[in-house]
Amino acid sequence: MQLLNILIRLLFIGVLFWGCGSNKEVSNSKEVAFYYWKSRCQIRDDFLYPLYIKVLDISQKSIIKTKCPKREFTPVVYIDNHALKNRDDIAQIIFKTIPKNTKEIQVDCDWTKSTQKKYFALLKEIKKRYKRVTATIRLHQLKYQTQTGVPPVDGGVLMFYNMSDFLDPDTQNYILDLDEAKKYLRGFKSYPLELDLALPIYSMATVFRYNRVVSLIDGITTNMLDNRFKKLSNGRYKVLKTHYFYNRLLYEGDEIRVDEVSIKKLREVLKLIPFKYNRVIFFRYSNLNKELLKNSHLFKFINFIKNN
Amino acid sequence: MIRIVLINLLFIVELFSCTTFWQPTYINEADFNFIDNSFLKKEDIKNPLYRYAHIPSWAYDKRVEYYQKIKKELNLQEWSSYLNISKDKANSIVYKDTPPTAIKNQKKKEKFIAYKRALGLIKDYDTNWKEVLKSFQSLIKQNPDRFFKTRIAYNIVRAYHNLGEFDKEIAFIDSLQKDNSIVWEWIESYRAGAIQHRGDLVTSAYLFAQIFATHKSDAYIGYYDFKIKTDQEWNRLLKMAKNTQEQTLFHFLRAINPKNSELLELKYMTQINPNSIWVKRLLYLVAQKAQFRAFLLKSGDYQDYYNLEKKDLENYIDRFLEYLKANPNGSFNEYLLSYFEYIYHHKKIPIKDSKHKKLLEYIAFVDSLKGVDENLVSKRLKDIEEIFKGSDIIKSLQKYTMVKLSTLYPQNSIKATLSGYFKEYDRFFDGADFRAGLNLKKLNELVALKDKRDKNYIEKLMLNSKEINLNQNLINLYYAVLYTRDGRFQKALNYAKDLPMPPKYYSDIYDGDKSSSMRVSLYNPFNVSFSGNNRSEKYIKYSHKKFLKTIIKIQKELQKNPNSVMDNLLMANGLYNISDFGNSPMFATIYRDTTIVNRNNLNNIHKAEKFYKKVLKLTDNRELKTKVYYQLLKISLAKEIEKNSKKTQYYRKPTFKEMDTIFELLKRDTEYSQLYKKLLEYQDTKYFNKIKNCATFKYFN
Repeated sequence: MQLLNILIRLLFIGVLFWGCGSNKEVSNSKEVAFYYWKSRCQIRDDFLYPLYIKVLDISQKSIIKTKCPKREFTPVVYIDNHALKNRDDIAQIIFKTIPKNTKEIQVDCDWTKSTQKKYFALLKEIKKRYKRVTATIRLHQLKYQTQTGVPPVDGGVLMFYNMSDFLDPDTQNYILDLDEAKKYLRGFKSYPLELDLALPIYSMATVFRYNRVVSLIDGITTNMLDNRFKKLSNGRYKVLKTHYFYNRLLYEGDEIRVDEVSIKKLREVLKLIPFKYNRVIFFRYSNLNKELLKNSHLFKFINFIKNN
Repeated sequence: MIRIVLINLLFIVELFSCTTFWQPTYINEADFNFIDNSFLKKEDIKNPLYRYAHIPSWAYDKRVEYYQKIKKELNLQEWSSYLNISKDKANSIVYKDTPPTAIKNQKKKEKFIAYKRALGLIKDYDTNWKEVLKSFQSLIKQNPDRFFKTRIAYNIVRAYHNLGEFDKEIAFIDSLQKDNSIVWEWIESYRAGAIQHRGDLVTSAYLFAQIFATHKSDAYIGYYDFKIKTDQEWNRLLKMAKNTQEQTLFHFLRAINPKNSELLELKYMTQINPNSIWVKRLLYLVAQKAQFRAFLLKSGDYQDYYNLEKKDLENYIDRFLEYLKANPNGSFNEYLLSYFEYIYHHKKIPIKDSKHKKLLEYIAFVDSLKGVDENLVSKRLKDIEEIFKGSDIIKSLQKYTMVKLSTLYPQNSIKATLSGYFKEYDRFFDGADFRAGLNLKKLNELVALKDKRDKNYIEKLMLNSKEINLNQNLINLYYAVLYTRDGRFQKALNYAKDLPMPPKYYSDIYDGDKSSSMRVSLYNPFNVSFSGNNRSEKYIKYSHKKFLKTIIKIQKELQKNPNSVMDNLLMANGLYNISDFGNSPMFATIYRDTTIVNRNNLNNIHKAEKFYKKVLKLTDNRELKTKVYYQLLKISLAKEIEKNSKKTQYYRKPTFKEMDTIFELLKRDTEYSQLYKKLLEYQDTKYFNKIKNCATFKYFN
């Protein structure tokens, strides 16, 4: 645990070092930023990378506001599709929460054909108030852009993760499945918006009981599994004994799927991206996959991005 | 703490619930429940903590609400007895801030005022807890009596807790002397929470388990705040238990968490102490869940309504049966095994207990019915009801019987309809679908059933809803409407003439029951306008009676002179307007759902079309022809909607978005294209120039 803390600390210091150094040496290099997605904002003061912080989580029944830190960041608003369908006060909530002089605001919504009209109208309204508005784009929205439309904003961020159905017992890796990703990118010609790239650096375990998802455990990697788990042929692990595992109760017979990413896979992602991008935003600052910190893998990868 | 649990629960709900349709909050409120709960205490049966919830967040609200009620009641009892006033008076001064004039004892009154003043510092948001603490600390120094001391102490505990001063909070509580006040339950709950905050999860889990098992006014806190995170903690907790009963209680708390496996917990608990009350309680809960799933499998509704897979449902019941086979001892287990083998595998296993044996025999009797013998079924049902007198099972027995009978009565009969609706009578049945589905045959049968003198038990049950038991005025109204819909206007008038006189202003119709007892129109049903019905009118233009008298007059004129242009036009307009697409559909529709195409009322559109076409043949008047062509275009649109609504199961009307598709389809229709071309030949007319700016016409374009 102590070693892990040192590694995390190293990330922030290392990040600082590489961040400043590379910016000076390489002009027009790519920027690296991080998403912060928790409702309670706990960010270290020495973390100086640009941050995209989810400040508002708007669902049909609730609005969760995150108290913002005293530092520069880009506010992100998450809007649930049900909220989009049923609420008429979304713009007002945003205007009340995010000051008018904010340089950029990002909106995250997995809009569909049925919510497209309302979502785009909302974006237009937001656009009138803020200087720069960007929106997240899912892979399916990139592939089926004629059906889902292109949001009327200044730029987009392609979310290159969560590309499979996590409830599906046959899903191999919910966070990053390159075969699945290739299907979405096949035949890609262009996208009318300038796009940045969001890459995953988190991990989690999905718990199945009698083939149904019963819970998720954040931050789990395969290295954390011990002899109370047995590897199965489909990439899943069977729980051999009822026990508590990272605060969760698992039962004998349960199965878990560990969804994680490796630097090797992330490098492969960069090769797959068929468009130019200026910024990579890592999802996410909190609960990141601690395996990525070992041997400075993540530092090296950040440097690689910045210089390529 | 609860907040964190809730967020997790909400997430899981979000994850798995994908339907918006009505579901019972608790499984034992579902259609059929044949699991006798006589081994449970009455208060246990009502207790929402011992019931399985479909949607955990709804259950949380209900559970809190249930305990808040008890909490308030017990608190008021203490206040009323201490202040020597009624509970109502105590309620107004304690909970509603009414001046405490009712308190006759001057000393107590002064104490009460001081206490309330300090309590006023606690706001819904942004409470200054330091100030609250100071204020109550000063009150406790004034040496209050036992009653106030406990309450003041409770507020000091609250303040410490909200200030995060858990050590001080615990030390303060431990320095107090416990009494019999209900307030002590709340103090104990705070203490368990403070211990949890200090990081001693095992002790706090033990205390929360005790709170869950023993507290009258806030037991739900015991469940929601029971928290164990590691095997070491769990093992330490088990060791803390004074006996196996307590150990099974800890397992019970894990079992009712929707993230955990109640079936495995039941297995573990049975191994520890099969006779524990917690095993019985959990067995009852699991049995209810398995029962719900077994009936869901039978109904086939699992995928559409509950997003459940057949194999999941089967898996659950199979595993429960495995458990029952491994643990067959005791009459309850014996019954459950026999019951589930029957409803799931249709296998009859003999049981000793005669009461439950009869219950299973009755269920099998209903299942075996091939035809309706109301007298026999009435007798058998009454006999079994007698055996289960006072039990909730009676309702399920009636529902089960009625559902079966609804499949045996002739289709389109009123008895098939009523027995089909019976299982909804005690829930959210508002009769709207029942009324919408009425036709003349069913209405005649309903009236005959209502008037029948010696109704059997089944018939009495069928009519046991105020929504079904129509009064004479409504019967007259429905006859008038249904005869109008069928074009039998004279018959309709015979009923309409006895209906109440409509008022002058439309707004007056909303007084009392008038809106459901009469039908009126704000428009002239013999006129067709090119603009939409914007409902800005205030005066009632036509009563049902007036409409019928007028249309009968037109009918007579047409009999005398079938080629009268004006009468053919008026008849066409009248028929068009009483359809769902016209301005006065209320004259021919019992219950109008604006999202559904009323198939029964489409006939009038087709009748109107014939009259309009006749007008075209009879007249050379270009203005009139324009009007008629426009009406025919509107009819072609109505027909297109009808055609498309047939494709959907519920005969839904298209949404605005789908209307675009309908208009596209319409434009491919040859008959429509010819009509549209014809209409364009009349571009020089005044009427055309009026309609060309109308929104609907632009769609036709």
